[in-house]
Amino acid sequence: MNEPLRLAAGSLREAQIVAEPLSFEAFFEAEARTLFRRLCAVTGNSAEAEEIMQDAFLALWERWERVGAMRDPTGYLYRTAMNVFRKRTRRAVLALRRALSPAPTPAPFAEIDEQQDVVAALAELTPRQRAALVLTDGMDYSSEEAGRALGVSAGTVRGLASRARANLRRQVGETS
Amino acid sequence: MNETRDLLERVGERFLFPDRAFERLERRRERRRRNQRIAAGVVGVAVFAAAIWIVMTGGPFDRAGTPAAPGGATAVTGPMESTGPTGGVGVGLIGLAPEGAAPSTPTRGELVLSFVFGHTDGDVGRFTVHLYADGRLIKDRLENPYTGLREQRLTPEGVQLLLAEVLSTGLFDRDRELLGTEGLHYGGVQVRDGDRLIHLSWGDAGFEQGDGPIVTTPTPEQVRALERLDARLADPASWLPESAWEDRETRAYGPARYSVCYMGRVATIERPRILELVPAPAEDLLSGRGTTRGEVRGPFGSIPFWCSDVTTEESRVLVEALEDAGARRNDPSFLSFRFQPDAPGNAIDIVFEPLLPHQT
Repeated sequence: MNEPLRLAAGSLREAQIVAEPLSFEAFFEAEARTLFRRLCAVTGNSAEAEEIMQDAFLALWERWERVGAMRDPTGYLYRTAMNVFRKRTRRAVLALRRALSPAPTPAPFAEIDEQQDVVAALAELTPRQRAALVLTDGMDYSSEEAGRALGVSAGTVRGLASRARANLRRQVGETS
Repeated sequence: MNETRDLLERVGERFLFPDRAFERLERRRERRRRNQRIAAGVVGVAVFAAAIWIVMTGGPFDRAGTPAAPGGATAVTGPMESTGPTGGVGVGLIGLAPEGAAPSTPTRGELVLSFVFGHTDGDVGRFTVHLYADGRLIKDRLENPYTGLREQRLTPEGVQLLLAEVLSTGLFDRDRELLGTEGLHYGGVQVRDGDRLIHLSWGDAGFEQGDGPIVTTPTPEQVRALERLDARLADPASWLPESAWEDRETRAYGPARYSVCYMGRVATIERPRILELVPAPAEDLLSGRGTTRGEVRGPFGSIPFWCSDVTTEESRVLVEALEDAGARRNDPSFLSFRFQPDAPGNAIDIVFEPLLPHQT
């Protein structure tokens, strides 16, 4: 696939046509909801998703003069968000190792009232599996592109996504 | 749309997008910058920059539900009642010192130790300590509600014991900056060594590198030493002997002077123009004063600000003039105002920061 990323439908492109140069705030308004939803699917937690979203947007804001002029600032945003996600995951692991009595973390997707089978099945996946799934199946990234965003090889992405799909099918199948 | 994508989209849509998301982003941005400045041990002008960020961001943390300081917009606190021998949570100085209240003496002091520990990536829980050669121990904590500035007094022995505790970490043989202190968030220490202060600052992986001369990754022992130091400084009454205390009762810190700083809220407004816009008593008082100029970075570039030292009574005059002119208090815990003159694009932030003994 040549196009590295998909724009949120009818959002940023329209904003660029209406107002050039694109302001950071307009970019935020165009992209934040979609990014947030996808990060929720990855993390299963809205607070975590918002933290990652904020960190990613802040990174872009600091460099907006350059990033705003890019052909695909949205792609840069998602790569940054996934980088933040990876760093946070590493930090959480380190913190857990060090902590004597780690604070309980909420189960993924616990805040969704309606606990349907698919949600329960998604919660069973690891965050990395969900991230691979969001990037490949959810956003049509190639394995190579998803691998660059996640900092792993294309083969690893294929493995993660494949296991994620299999687990989803098994989970949903078992409960239906 | 394939089945998995449909599933992911449906799941994502069930999470509520945060209210005022962009505003929250702006606040996080300014908090992060302020924290970096504070942790880098930058004092003086940067202190005022930090105070201005509080104004610009609407408060040091989300204060929803925070009770207003007693007394409303010009809230003041008097000498506090200590809540226990360890000097635990109490009400320190918030806003202007009460009328007629005696300032902490001596008005000037030599700083021998300052300590800032950010317990989160944001402001919540940030704990600061200032120790002076004359024994004054001044501290505050940004919690909900804000503790205000509180003061206790140590004997010379107590000062030496506290300094020994800090130096025993082995981190102060030279200036240091530790990056990658996972879980410690950020912080900084200055400790006096003869004529100079030795600086130490730290930050986790997301922390941007400062200007420290020696940047290293901390060892687990160094991380543990900082954690222990944080606990010891948070409650010195729990481990210092009785002989270390000249007065262990916790009182509100009484500043002799304040720094008043002003700037355009969203864009640069030059000082002469600001002075034209503020109420006449404020213009009269501020126009003849010496100023220190600084800059803070905003979303649309750097914005200059100017600061002048004023007495507590002059601060009171300024506050009254601002309130009479319709200035709005930004935050109940800090003496900061947003003044919006009639002319568009002229919003001004004005911040009063109590000066500590080493800043006068």
